[in-house]
Amino acid sequence: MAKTVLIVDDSESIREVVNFTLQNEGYDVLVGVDGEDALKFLDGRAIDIVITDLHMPNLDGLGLIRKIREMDAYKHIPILFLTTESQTEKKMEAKEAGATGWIIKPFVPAKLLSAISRVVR
Amino acid sequence: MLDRFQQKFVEEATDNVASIEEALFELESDPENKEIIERLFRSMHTIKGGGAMFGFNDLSTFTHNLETIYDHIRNDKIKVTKDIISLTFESLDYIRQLLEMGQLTDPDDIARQQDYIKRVQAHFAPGEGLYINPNKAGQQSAAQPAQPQQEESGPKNYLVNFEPFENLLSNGTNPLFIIEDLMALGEAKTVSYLQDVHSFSEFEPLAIKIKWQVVLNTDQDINDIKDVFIFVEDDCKVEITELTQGDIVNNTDKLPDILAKAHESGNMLKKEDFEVFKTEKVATPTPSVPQQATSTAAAAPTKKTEAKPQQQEAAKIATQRVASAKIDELVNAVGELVTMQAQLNLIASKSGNEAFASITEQMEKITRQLRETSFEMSLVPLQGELIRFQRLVRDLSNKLGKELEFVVEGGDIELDKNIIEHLIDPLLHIIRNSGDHGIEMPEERIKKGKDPKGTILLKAFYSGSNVVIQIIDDGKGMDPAKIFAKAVEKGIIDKNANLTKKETLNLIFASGFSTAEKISDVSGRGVGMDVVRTKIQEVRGEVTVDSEVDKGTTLTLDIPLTLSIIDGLMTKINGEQFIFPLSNIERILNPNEVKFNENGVGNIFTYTGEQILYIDLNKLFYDKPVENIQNAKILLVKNGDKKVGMIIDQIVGEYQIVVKPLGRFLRKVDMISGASVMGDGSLSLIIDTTRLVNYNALQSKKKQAKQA
Repeated sequence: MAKTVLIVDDSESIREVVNFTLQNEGYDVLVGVDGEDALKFLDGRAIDIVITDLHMPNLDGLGLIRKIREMDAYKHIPILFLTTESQTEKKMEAKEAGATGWIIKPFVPAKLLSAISRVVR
Repeated sequence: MLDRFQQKFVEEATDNVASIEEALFELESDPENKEIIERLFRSMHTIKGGGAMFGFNDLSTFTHNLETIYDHIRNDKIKVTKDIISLTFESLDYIRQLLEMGQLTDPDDIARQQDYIKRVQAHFAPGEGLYINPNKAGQQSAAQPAQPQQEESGPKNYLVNFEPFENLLSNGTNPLFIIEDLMALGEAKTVSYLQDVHSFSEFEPLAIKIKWQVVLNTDQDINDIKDVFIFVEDDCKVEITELTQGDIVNNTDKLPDILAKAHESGNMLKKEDFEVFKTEKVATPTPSVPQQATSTAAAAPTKKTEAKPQQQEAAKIATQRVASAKIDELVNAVGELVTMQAQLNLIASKSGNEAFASITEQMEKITRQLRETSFEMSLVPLQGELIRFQRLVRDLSNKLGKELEFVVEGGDIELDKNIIEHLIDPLLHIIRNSGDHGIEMPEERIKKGKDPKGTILLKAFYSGSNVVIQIIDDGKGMDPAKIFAKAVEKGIIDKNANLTKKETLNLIFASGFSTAEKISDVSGRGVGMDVVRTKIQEVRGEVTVDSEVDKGTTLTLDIPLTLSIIDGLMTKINGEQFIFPLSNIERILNPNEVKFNENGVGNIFTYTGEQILYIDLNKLFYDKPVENIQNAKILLVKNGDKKVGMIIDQIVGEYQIVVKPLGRFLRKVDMISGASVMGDGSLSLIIDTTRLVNYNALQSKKKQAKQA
């Protein structure tokens, strides 16, 4: 079974690059343009991992992570967030919200894939 | 591979710059608004992140510094100042340049970049902004500082203690993956400690009570081991101890016993427990052993070679970018299709073949739908361009020392993008004129009892199948007497000419006329209002001016929604074909439905109690009245907020009309907006009803003047 990844980012170019990379690796990809938009995919279907940006309009990454952790179906799925620098503060906040790990931007496709493989297999 | 996304990034970043610009204007009037600051920050953040991803590192570095300012504002460390806003505006221009230039190579450019960064950094405490090198700014292998390089190379033995906190599972971490990753670093043996696991009755599935120890032989750095725990640093206790040299992991003599004992007793292993191996004289482990020897880790789970799954839900994309050239192509092709369709209709109806006629009819429906959809696609909101005007007004206000405010009403109206492109320059010119010549200096305004702050209002609204755009300022207005004198001086009119105020004011559009007394830095360098008019006429638009001394000036642009295809009503007048845009026609009347004014004064009839002016087109075009008015038809045409009757001979039918311009020699024939080739190859002229009414009024006036 191909694993399903939900990617959430308000930047179209990042979405495309992530989507392209993941589909090439054989993942099924769902794409949300912000936290609010991503919620529509969280309807009980099988999602193996969520990768989300933190800074987004409507519902930001932290908000999305908290919401996901409230849903019975997704309480324990891995969630990675995208972040720019190694801001420990932001990381802590996101981890407290329930994130599993992070991917630091800029990233090359290999880095993205290795981060995913840390938490989903 | 990333190259193919670069273009996308540039487009997106350009959009982001525009939205930052927009937000800045809002921030200027509402500097405490957190929501605006958030938005600004987010857009900068996106540019920064994407810049680094797609090879715009200099852009990323610069934006990072700019973003830091707004991060501080966000966190109430500093306040929004005029300086910051101005610097940000300037920075946006610079970011646009960087998007064009890509990576900087020229030393001058690099020096300029440093200067810019310094100016930006002046707004926050030193050391907080960074000259990030995105190549290095990536993943730090672990939070701990890098260990000094070990003197000896070759594989080493480590004991790794992994004691998860109870809540490790709650954020989606699978501890077994961590064990797998550790084991994948080299050769390993693992001990688990289950002593704390509750009995079944007290079992809490989500609380993790297991501890692990891994004995690892690896030639990887200690940081690589730490790296395995990067996501869980704060959710578990990790200890990494270097053990004595020697072949521990593959020892079958003592190690299994040691591990089993530890597992049974729950006494975790310590460094000392491995000292026994020291005495044993063993050759260093065979370097030929591949690092990823353990079977558990060998299964690389993310690699999937099966065919790419189809996109299911992911295909639900609400909007999509399309190159505007493609839309132009589509609109053109649809235009051709509409013409062909008309021919097809004609042939079908002549053929007498019912099946053929029916399928042609079906096809026409689709053609129409295609036409409408492609038309809608080519419309873009004016909103997207407004920011440029706003920016212009802001720059003008700084440069001229005037207080200017730019207000927009109806920015959401949509126009054909080709038309919008044509309007930008004329509108910029008009707004520049308003700011430069129209609005007075603050002192002067105060003297006149006006608000020292001048306002330039851009107002846009629909009017029939046209869009009206007005630029209204509350400046000093134009003096008709001065304009008249100037026009005489320039030889544009005769000094005895008898003009209404409106006609006089509109002389500013005559070529060779410029109201600017001296050419200023801001406006009036060669380009006059005549160029503005020409530009607007190119899109079949019209521009007029109205002004009141000391009250202000209004420029009105009347622009068609689209240039290409319209729904038209084909009619015959004196045996020739004329087309009326269907959107202008309110009703088609038979002469017996109206009551013509009996005493014959003026061309007026009464319809449902309303007195309506009518125009006999036979008379207007061919100078002979309609033969028998009872056999004619009357089109009730919208004209502003009034209605006008137009008497024609015959209605032919409704057609989709591809509008072609008349060409250079006939351009000045106002009341004909274009021509169209019909399905049978014949030519029809398209009537611009508004101008026809104006033309008629002018003619009657001339006649009255003659009679008088």
